[in-house]
Amino acid sequence: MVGWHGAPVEELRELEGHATDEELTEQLLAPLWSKSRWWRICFAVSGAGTLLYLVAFTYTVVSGIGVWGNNIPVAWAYGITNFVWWIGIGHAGTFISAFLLLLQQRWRSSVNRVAEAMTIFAVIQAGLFPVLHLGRPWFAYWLIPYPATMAVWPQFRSALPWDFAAISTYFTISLLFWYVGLIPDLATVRDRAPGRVRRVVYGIFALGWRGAGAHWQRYRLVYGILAGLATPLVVSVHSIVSTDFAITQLPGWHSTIFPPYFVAGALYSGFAMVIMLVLPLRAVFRLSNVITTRHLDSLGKMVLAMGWMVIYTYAIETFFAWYSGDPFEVAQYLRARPFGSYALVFWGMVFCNCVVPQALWSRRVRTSPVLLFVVAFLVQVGMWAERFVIIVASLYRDFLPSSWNLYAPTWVDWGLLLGSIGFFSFLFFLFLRYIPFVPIDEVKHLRAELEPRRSG
Amino acid sequence: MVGRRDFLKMVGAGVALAGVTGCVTEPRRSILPYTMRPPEVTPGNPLYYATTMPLDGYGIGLLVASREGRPTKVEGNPDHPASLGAAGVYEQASILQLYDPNRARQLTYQGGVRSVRDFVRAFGPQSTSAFGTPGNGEGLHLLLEPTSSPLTASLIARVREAYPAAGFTFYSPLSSSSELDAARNVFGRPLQPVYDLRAADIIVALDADLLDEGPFSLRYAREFADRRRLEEPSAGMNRLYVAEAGFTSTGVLADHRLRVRSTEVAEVAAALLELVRGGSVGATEGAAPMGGAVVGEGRGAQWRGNEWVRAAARDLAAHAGRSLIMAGARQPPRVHELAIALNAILGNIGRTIRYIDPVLVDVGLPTHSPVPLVEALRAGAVRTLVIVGGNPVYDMPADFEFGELLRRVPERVYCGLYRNETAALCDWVVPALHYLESWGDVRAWDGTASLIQPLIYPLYGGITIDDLLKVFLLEAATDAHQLLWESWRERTGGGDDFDEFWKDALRRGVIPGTTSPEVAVTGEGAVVRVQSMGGAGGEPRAGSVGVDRVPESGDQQGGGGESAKLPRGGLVLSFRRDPKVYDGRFANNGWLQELPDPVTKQCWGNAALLSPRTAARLGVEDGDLVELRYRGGKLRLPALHLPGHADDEVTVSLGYGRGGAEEVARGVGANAYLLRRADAPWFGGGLEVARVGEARGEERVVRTQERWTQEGRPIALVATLAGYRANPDFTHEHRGSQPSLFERWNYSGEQWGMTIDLSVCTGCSACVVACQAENNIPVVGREGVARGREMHWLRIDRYVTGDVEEPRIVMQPMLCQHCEKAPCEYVCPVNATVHSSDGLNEMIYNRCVGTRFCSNNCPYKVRRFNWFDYAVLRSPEEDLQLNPDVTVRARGVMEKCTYCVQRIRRAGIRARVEGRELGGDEVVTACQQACPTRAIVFGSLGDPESEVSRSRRQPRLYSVLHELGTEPRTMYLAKIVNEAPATAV
Amino acid sequence: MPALFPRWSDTLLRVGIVGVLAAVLLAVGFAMAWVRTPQITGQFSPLEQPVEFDHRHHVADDGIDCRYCHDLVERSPYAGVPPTERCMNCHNQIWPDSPLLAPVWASYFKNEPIVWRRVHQLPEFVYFDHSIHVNKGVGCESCHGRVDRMARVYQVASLQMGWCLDCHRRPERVLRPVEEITTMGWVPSRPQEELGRELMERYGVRRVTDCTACHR
Repeated sequence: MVGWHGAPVEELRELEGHATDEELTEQLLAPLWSKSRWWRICFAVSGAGTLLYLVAFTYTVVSGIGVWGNNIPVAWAYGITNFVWWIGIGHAGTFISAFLLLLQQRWRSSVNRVAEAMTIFAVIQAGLFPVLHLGRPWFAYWLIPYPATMAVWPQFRSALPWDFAAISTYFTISLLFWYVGLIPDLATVRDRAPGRVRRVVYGIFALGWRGAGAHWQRYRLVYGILAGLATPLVVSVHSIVSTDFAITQLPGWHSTIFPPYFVAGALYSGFAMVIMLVLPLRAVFRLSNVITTRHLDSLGKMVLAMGWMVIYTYAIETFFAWYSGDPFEVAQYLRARPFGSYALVFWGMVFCNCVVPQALWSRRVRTSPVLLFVVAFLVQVGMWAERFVIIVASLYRDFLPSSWNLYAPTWVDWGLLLGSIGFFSFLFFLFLRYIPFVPIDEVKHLRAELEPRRSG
Repeated sequence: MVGRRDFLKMVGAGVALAGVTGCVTEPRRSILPYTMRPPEVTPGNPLYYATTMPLDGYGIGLLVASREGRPTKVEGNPDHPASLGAAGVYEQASILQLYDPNRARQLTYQGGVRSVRDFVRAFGPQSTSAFGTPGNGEGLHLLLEPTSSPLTASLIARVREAYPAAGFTFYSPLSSSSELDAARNVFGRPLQPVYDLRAADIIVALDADLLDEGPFSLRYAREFADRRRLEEPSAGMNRLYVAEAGFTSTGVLADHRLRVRSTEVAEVAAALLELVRGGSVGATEGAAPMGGAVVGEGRGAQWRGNEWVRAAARDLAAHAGRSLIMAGARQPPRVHELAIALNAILGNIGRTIRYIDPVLVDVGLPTHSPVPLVEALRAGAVRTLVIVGGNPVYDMPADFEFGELLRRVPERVYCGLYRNETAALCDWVVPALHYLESWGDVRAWDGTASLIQPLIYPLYGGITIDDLLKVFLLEAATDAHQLLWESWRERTGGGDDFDEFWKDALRRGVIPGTTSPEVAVTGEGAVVRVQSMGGAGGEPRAGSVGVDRVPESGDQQGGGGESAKLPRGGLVLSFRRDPKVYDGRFANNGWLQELPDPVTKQCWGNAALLSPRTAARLGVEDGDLVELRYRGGKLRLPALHLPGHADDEVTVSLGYGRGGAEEVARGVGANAYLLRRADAPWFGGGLEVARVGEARGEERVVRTQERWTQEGRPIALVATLAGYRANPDFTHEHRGSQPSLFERWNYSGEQWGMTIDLSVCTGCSACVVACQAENNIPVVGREGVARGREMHWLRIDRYVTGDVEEPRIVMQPMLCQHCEKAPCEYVCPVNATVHSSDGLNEMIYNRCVGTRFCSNNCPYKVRRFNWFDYAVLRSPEEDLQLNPDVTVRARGVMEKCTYCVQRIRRAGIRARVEGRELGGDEVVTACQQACPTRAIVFGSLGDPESEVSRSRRQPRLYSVLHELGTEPRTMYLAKIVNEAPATAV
Repeated sequence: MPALFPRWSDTLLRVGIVGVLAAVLLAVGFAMAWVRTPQITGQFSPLEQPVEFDHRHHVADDGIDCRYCHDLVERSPYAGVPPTERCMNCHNQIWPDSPLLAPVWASYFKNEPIVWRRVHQLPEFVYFDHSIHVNKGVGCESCHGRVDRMARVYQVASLQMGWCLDCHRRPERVLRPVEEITTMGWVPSRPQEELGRELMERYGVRRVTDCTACHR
């Protein structure tokens, strides 16, 4: 596996070595047949996490939100923090697949499926929290506009019904996009799967793909259209989520910069997550020829770029708080956050989101899996902290000092955060086991494209 | 069996299971009509009955709402002199005490259940225990609470005839005889003063919490406020000087407050007297003779006290006959004498003060001191001790070791509401009736008699004190109603119109012509006396609960002051009535335990209050656990910094650390009675404070407001009268319309609004309890409050302003502001909070899904969330108190102040059924109705002549956080303080 | 190697996909219809009562005014189920020994209430007030239907919020002169809408759609 030596000096390629189509197929299908111990272990661990999630979830629904640490004034805390964090992570997938596809970035091919899977699983996590955090989750459907016997409708001035629409749309499109992309590979698996049962199962999902010219032609068409649909969603979803905060008058929330700010932040954490998922796979399955240092390099650059957008928004936000001269804004940004009870979280966020990524200026770091992983991890932490600061730090010091109060998480809060991570990994490990996580067909196309230049 | 308190603690796990029943269609309920409907009852409409609540022997007139036979809400009786329509914290909360499931339910003898008949057999006609040799009552002793009831009085008299040798003692831990003793020393007979604050321009309160303490405080608060609500800048205003150690509601409204150790109040009074006497009455400002007098031990002339005393003296002199000096019950007779002398010199007696004969039975006699009883007990002279009401084992001064003495008595009877500490040591325990269950009569502070009539059939059985005395009269028991009826028939001489008289008395809740006549006195005695005592000199003394108050002994041994004298550098320990649980009798009342202390905002417990400076000197952090060592006693409790508290003094609330069978009260706070000493019941020197460490768990202080200041934000505005007159428009930046993207609402007919006058809000919190009672607001318990989940729809924000050393406190009732441009409305995804056609910000619980988005966007944070299914915490008995017009909120929904919309709708329907428009002042909210000072005004802004519309024309009107453009319908009148010109800055 | 799937599997797949989508849509539609059926609203199902009280007889035959028994209706939120003594006013003379009246006598002498079953049951967060409705020209019949034709009373209206709002938004469609409040089978002399608008004028009826009008 690629170790500390970093990257070779010569130009980085999307594909290393000279594997034939056959070899590539074999290599990329291997994980589906292999019965590895590490997989079982990881699967068990994530399973345990999922269980914790279930417990905390059920306990909350049965007893009430009171089992969380929330209070008045801090009526939102971990629940919404987790929601925003996950939905953010859920962004990079579609971005990589759709955006980069339209921009014809060849390097995307090896990583896009992992990214898309990540998106879907993350959005699942994200989708659960808004429902769970309701006082009466069983009435969540009241947010959907439908002719009710009460003759009352949802209120469209609120951001929440739009949230609901945005997230469900985003999930549907991402799922379709991912599935369509899968079809050729499912067919490959069908044809090579040992044992009839698997062949049939994969066969059903392969929808009778034969790789005929007509198939490819339609496939490209649909894939392109879906990419086109998905691209604006990447921007819209988190913009809408950001209005959950931006439409209020609360200092720290009441800000016009939120939509772009949230999108940037989302992609930031999203790319970090892709890195965190891809690197271990690359090491474990010896995929350095498919997921090359070139990929790491590009991902690193993306993270750095997004990092700077985030830094910019931080700066602007704080500047305007000061420039506005509004005492409440000033108190929030220049006192409560940097010096308040949650100062530690705030400075942790600044360190992880603003300082750490600067390491990525060095190509050495960008191309060293270990360092890259560390950076990505810290960014992940930082982005969670950012959402916590935005939500809790803004609420606990609002307008009237009389109502100021602290927030302290309970074990249920922690259980839900860790549990959702567990559930996410749980789904992800299932994905690794049963679906080719590197798009075989695309890699082969890529090889085909690269060949002439190589031989020449 | 799991106690309610444990319940309150373990809210969480299973408790809230009920929540999930949201969407299930419920089974058919059934209807049970009357078989014979009482003519006066109209199911669905409330009935109001007049009755009277006795507290420490004095009556406060009430009107109690009855819904289909169950009392649900207490209001003040406008016709009653002690209420004038207001109802304080205790009155409001007493309704919950009625339904308290912890009340004693069974008559027991040594734990075994007995019947009343058994009790009668034991003590009545065929009494086995013949009291003493030839049944003259030798060895029989009755320990009662002070009473003014004419009926009880007559019965006591007759018991005395039957048992001439029987002993009587009247004891209540909070009553003090200083006032009467002083009067006796001065006028030669015990007299009690009745003040007329409307006639007083200058009021000097010497450690007297006149606005919130005592049987006439509701009335005094009203009278005081009436001279203070500035209709326009030019209007006149009274001025209040307060000298006190702790921060009382009266101190909150003080124009000049002097924080001084309780032990030094006497010196302040003396100095005041010297100045006033020096500069003969009506002296021109700053006349020479007022120079001298330096108050305070070894303090230099620069001490702020001097300035305060001079200012007060100057004002008093300038307002002779229109001023008033009051001494507090905690202060020794000497201070009261000085006050009388001052009033005499200034010619206030007969103008702002009238004296009447004492109202209580036996008052001024040794029977009002526990000492004779205690001596008898020590001597083993008591064979049968009958304790009626009270809780002496818990609340007697510790050095009596009353519990020990009681154990030695062969035959011990207790009759009370609870199986408390005292009941635990008695072999006969007889449940007493709550006043809302009993017939009786009682007199107000000014002597006015009124009847106590039951609102409901006794819930848990029991008897009244009158029934009990009747048992000892060896007479056949008659029912309480007849007993009362006959006694008044006799008193009024019967007559044919007696039935009319009786009905009228019951209806009006006052018995006309029973107010005590004024006793003409001259202050000469006082003046002469103080002169003979050498003017300003003399030892300050501790007050007294009537301990060793034997008339012959005169004043000189009074109070055992020596022990109270402050050893230089040492600390003074001072006890106070708790604004919530009183002397501990209300400790089992969830509403009161959860009610934030008006000033410290502490719930569920008490603390050692001390000034930040003293705390710093002792190295005690805010919230530390400290140990108080005082005359051999020790007590652990958390410490609280209280800005404006006197230095070198520690104040502790009585009434906590209960150990009885009451589940809510048990173990809450620390029992300060353990440090109380008979010779210095209110304060004494020689206290040591040792820091134990950080308070943890149950010992932690739980507060609803951590912050003291407004962080420099313009929230509760204050101005001096001078400043206001100079610049009446000083609030203009905080009112008027704001640009907005939202369309205006256009109204026809009523549009509701509220104005709150910060100038007269004492923070007494009657409104908070009234709101809780009216709107079925749950109690969330200690843990709930600790987590910041108190449910009060109406809270009182307390802010200190001005100099940190000598702070002023401004109280700001904060409730839903019913914004025109409500931030909560547009963020609710399901339209659960919307605007109504009469201007209300409506909250529809059954539509709410609980996103809590509205709360996040509410700048006033007045919205409350049902974190759990709190209804589960209410016992079935307490459910009977619920207001049927208000939904009991389910788990997971938001709630908030509705402006008592149930009252608005009921009134509106009534008006429209009668085919008329709803009057602008017709609807009264619960908080408004309870408020003693009428600080809250509510009504329709649609009617230009309504009280609220008029209040909106005052220049000092403003809205909180006006710059946000929420356009609140609840607006405030800035607090105006009337500083004396000389000292006004 | 043999084909994995038979020819028809394609068709099956297509049908399957369409089927699933259709099923989902139908399920939703069905649920929405279901909540509007009498099974949920409790309409049209006469309730067994402790006393075989026949409104047909008392209202239609004897012509007793509704308000004789339901006497609170004009001054209280509740219409008022009559106290047992009310029955006795007549029945100590009429059919005193009819077995049908046995439970009533029992209640009367034991002084124990008759336990009626509630026919019109609103959720506990709904505060309906009879007095304002009957005083503003909403007839008994408008909500309770032809009680004079009911042996056992049953619920006619759905009592769902939408149903309430229909009137609260357009009262003119149901208002009648207050003199006719208890009349059963009343027919407007003039077009209802026209009459209704005039009555709204006369009685000062407003279109009350404030939430707190019913929810407090």
